[in-house]
Amino acid sequence: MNEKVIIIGGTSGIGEEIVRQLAKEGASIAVFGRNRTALTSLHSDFPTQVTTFEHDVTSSFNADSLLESAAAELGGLDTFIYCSGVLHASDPDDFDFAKDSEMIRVNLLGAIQWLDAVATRMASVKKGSILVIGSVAGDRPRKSMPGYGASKAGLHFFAEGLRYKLWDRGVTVSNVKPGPVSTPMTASLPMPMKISAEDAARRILKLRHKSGNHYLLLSQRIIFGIMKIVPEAIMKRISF
Amino acid sequence: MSLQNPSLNSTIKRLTAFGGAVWGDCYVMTPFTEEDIFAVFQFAKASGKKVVLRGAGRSYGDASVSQEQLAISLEKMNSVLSFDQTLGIIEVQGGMSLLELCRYVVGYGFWPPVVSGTSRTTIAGAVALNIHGKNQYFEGTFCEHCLEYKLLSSDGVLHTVTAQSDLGKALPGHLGLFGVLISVKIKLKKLSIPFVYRQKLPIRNWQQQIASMEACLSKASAVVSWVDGCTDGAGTLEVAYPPDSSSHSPNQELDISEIHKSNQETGSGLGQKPHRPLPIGPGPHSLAATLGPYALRLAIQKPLLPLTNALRRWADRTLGSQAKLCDLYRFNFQLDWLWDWDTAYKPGALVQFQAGVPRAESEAIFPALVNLCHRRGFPPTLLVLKRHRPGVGILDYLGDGHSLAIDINQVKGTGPAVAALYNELTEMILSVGGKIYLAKDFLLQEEQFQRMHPAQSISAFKEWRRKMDPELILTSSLAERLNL
Ligand SMILES: Cc1cc2nc3c(=O)[nH]c(=O)nc-3n(C[C@H](O)[C@H](O)[C@H](O)COP(=O)(O)OP(=O)(O)OC[C@H]3O[C@@H](n4cnc5c(N)ncnc54)[C@H](O)[C@@H]3O)c2cc1C
Ligand SMILES: NC(=O)c1ccc[n+]([C@@H]2O[C@H](COP(=O)([O-])OP(=O)(O)OC[C@H]3O[C@@H](n4cnc5c(N)ncnc54)[C@H](OP(=O)(O)O)[C@@H]3O)[C@@H](O)[C@H]2O)c1
Repeated sequence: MNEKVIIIGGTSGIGEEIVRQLAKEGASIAVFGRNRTALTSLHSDFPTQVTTFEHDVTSSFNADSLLESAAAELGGLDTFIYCSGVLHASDPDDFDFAKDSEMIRVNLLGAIQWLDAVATRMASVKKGSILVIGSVAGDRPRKSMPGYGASKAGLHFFAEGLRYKLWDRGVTVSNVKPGPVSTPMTASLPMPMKISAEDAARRILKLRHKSGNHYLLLSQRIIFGIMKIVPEAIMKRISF
Repeated sequence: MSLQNPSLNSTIKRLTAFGGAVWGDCYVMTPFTEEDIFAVFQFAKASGKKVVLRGAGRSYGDASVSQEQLAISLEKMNSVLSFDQTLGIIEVQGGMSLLELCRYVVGYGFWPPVVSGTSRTTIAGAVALNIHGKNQYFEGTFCEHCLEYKLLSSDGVLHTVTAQSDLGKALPGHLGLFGVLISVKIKLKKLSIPFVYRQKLPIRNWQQQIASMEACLSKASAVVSWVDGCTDGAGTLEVAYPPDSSSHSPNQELDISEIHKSNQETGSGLGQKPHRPLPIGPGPHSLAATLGPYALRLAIQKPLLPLTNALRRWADRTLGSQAKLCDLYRFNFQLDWLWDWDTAYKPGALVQFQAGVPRAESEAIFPALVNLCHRRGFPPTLLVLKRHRPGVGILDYLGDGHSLAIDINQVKGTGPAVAALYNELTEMILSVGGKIYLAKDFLLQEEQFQRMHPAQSISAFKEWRRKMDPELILTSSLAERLNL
């Protein structure tokens, strides 16, 4: 039987690449996102494999019934991927609640709402894989993105807790923490060592059934491992 | 019942076929009453979903599997409704298992005339596939002993169906597609004691298998052969004789009245209500059930299989060739001692191919099937040969002949290769006018199915289904696959 996947935020960047690569592997995928043009183009590229749902995670929605409809379209559910994310990098004088709360709503609250519904189903079925896209930015707060970092740190915490809750019920929870990736999200940001969205998606997909926190590159594991123990006195002076 | 709950999410369960080769996730409802069942049908109609009926999930195929639909399990509707001890007629709810039925009636000196190789089959599942036992040649199929059915159709009507009525004749093997079997009235078999004389005869080859089986038909009450799939048909022919017959064995004279007396003394007496349920069969937590699957996992590995089979034949020859009294549980349900033994096949799956062929074809086709399995790299882990007379269901697979069940170890990743083998085996069966048992099947194609059964049987089945369930609310992966 082919893999049945739901992805939230599969319309751009890493998520879109994930959808395309999964479709090439033969999976059936339900793609959620707001961008109607992107949804239509994915469906027309893979008409028999991709079904689409226009969806804004910040709107009021019933995750249970959306999950039911998507799983019914797919004829089951093996893997759930939460990829939606927004990043508003902040300037030194920028303390903007609207931007910060949007990041919390998309990156964390939307994820939690979906993950609670998916975990209920998978715990009951006693099988399934959950993959969330975290970020190295959630490992250690940084001047340029306190809101984004907080949302991703929250997501890491939630995913890890879920993993502990579900470990004996046949459900894996994988939290992948990419470093810089070339996507529309980071197009205007001067980030070093960006990898392509295609490469990131390929590496992420390899980890989708592996419970745990994962980095995509060894170099990132080392750099961000060190970042975690850098003293505050130094962190205050780093500008990125 | 969680129909009041707007979210079905937490009721979803994975419905896996026995053996683990096929599954589907469904929202499982466990009704207590007929009203509850009707509520599920109404909910299905309102939500655009379909309903699959689920028994104990002991079918190896996809008869009680579906994807993302509602499922009704009668596990809470498993009571005895009435029992006439004089006539031996019992009415039980569809969710009752054969084990529960046997436990209930054995103390009164009765036993179901037909049981499957597992005691966990439900009564509804037994009717829906019209199951047969090791005694099919002698006693026929399960439904031949059912007197009356209560069937709730998807429009909420409760039909009382006598076995002689037109619908009663269509119900054996209805595959859970005509309605929900609420209860069944069964004519039980009277026993003198719950034992048979069992004899295990060593057999050298296929020719001898068929001939020896034929030879014991006149005196036996059941016959089955466990064939070693790594040989040219060598194995053990297991024959049961009635405990009160003198035909079992000339060299063993047992005094039935002594056994009867000792049973009464130990509290398992017959003809009287026992003080406690008879301790037949081990539970899921027994030592055998816990350790058995691990041992089995080792035993079915390809390099060890010839040794495993040889050991088994040696043990049968050494310990079993004399007729001995054997209790009915042990005789009928020996595989249940290992409880969920299909887990031995994990992380792969157990696939069973079971076909019935006309008597004249058996001797040639069975070795050919087994050889093909070997050539394709799947030596059978178990072969079970039975003798049959024609079944009574519209789509029954039994004729005057034999059936062979072939267990295949679908090691992880070999699904497509096993499917290809299954297809080849099916074509061979078709070429000799044989049929596949749907209880074990999830791979047969619609076109093959059409070649297997007369067109009028298939259309009769479809007509009954549409008459009883015009909106086709009831479904299963099997029904969809074969376009029933
Ligand atoms: C170890 C083993 C040995 C076996 N030996 C034999 C054997 O010797 N002979 C034999 O014939 N079979 C044998 N079987 C197969 C088994 O007996 C049948 O597949 C049987 O139908 C399983 O019944 P179940 O209760 O598990 O129902 P399921 O497998 O869950 O369902 C079987 C069918 O019953 C229908 N159904 C379930 N509930 C209802 C209901 N309330 N109303 C209407 N339809 C319903 C389902 O939709 C489905 O079509 C064996 C199976 C195993 C695992
Ligand atoms: N790029 C990086 O360097 C990097 C590094 C680490 C982690 N990540 C994470 O990787 C994920 C994907 O990012 P990306 O780089 O591919 O960004 P992207 O190209 O901007 O894609 C973001 C995705 O999120 C979806 N999304 C945003 N707001 C949404 C909303 N309100 N409702 C539903 N979906 C919404 C978008 O879909 P619609 O617009 O169609 O709604 C889009 O599919 C994000 O979680 C991001 O935080 C990225």
